[in-house]
Amino acid sequence: MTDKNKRRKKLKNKLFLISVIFIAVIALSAIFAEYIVPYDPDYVDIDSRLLPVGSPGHILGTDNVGRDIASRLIYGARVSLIAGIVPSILAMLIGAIIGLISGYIGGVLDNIIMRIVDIMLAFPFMLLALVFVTVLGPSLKNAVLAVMIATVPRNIRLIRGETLSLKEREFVSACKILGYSKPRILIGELFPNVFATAGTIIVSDISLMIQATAGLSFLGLGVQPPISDWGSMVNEGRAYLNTAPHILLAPCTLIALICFSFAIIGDELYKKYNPQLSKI
Amino acid sequence: MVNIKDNIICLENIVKDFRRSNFSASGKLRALSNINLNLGYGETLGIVGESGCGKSTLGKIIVSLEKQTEGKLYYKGIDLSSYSRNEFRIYRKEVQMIFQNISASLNPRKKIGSLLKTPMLINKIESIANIKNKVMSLLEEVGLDENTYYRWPSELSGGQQQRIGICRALSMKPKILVADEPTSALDVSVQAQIIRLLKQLKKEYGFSLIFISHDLAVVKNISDKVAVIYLGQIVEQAQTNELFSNPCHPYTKVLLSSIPTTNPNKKSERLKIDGEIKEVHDRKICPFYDRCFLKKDICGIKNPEFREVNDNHMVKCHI
Repeated sequence: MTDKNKRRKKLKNKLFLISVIFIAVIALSAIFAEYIVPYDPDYVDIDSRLLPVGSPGHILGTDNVGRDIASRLIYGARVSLIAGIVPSILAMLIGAIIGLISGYIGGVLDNIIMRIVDIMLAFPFMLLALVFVTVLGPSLKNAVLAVMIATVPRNIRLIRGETLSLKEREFVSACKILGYSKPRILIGELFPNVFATAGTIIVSDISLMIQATAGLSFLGLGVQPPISDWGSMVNEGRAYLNTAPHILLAPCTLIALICFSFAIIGDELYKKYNPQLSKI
Repeated sequence: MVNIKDNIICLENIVKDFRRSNFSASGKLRALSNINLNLGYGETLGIVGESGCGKSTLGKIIVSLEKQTEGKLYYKGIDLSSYSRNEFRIYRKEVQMIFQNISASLNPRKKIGSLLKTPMLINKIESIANIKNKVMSLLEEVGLDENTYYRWPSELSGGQQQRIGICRALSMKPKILVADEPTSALDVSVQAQIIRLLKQLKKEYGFSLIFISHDLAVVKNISDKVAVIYLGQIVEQAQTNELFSNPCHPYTKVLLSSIPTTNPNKKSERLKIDGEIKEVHDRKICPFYDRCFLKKDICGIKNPEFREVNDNHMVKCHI
């Protein structure tokens, strides 16, 4: 390995570590929000509105009605993290079950499932999510549901592909000869083998989900006031872009950083479970 | 005619076609045509042939991983297609297989212990209370350490993995063991160990063995009788000694001459054939016609029938 590659790898490892620490800090502060926030996130203080970053008492300043931005960000992290993690796990669970069955059983069933998946994949992800949330009605729960449904088809396709290559392996034949039933082969033998892939996709998907739910909130289709998440904070700050850009920039930066971190972790995990890729 | 009842397994006119993609011109690939074979209780049958001749497909049909297109398979004298669900389950249990692609035959995400335990529990061979002891004794029997129980398949060497494969098949108390090139992925010293193990276990358990291989030296060592397959057809079939001392089909002669000798002074005459194994589109001619060094006019006109050269020595050749 050349020096350059080594240096790159070292940098990657550092980035991975920083990402993990960053996410851990955000997650912990979201969990213990009550104990660490200096202000009630919904406390309106008209006297100290639009304070800039670094003001005494308000590290990240205040917004248009004088709410402390740092406190709101920490509380918003709860919503955003849940909105990232829950749908990506659920989407993978559903995708994995359908993908495994479709790939293993094959035939007409597989054909029907895959054509439906094809149709759903023909729509852009965000558009699909928008359609669902419009049909279901705007709320946090429905936004999460919508981004989840929009990711399921891709997961089905990925897991089905994995299953197709696995079922040709000889251990599946061996299990058949040894008298394993079909459900047992599916759940007991094939599922543990797609687990690594599924896990890495879940982690990489979290950033996608955070972005998507934040996007829906920004459009007013996600979280409804008075609860707020990062997406709705961006929306509220939009009007003050010229006079007080920090209202908008603070949540934007946080969204970008956390998505970046999850993407890096997902990437590294993917390479770890697919060693032949890490050499490229 | 062979008495079906005397043999543990009988294949009668087995034909296997594989469907090609819908777009190709010739719709079917005939992997096996008119295979007749039988295996007595406790016998070892060697099946020899080059890559792609259909010997693995034959193995898969015997363990019923693949279904034959035509023909019948009799197990203990009863037609397999007439089996009830329950009878079929017993057949599944009693006909076991060990694989060529050793590492792929063990689920990489299961520890050895659970790999060996689960099949026995499914087939209700052992109670849960006893299972661990049973696995340990089986491991010992195939020459593995008790610690192997806690290992992952990837931590074992090829030879050890194949021992696990044998162990797993053995735990089903099989009546027939189909070994599909069990040693071809192993190096020579380990090959010998595995062969020795198979022979010893066969003596102990008394199962019948079908040994599929392209390695004639190994087949000679282990089998009682041998069938030579070329392009999905059995071209010669005889007792091992008879076949090796008196090969009649030109293809068998070529195969035999390719075994390296250990005596440097004895120069063996090496027969060579040209070309590659080719698909026969015309089923009327002899499948070996293109590559045969003895061919005559009749070979290009008519596919030879079996004729008996000697006692139980069948050959499919005009010459």
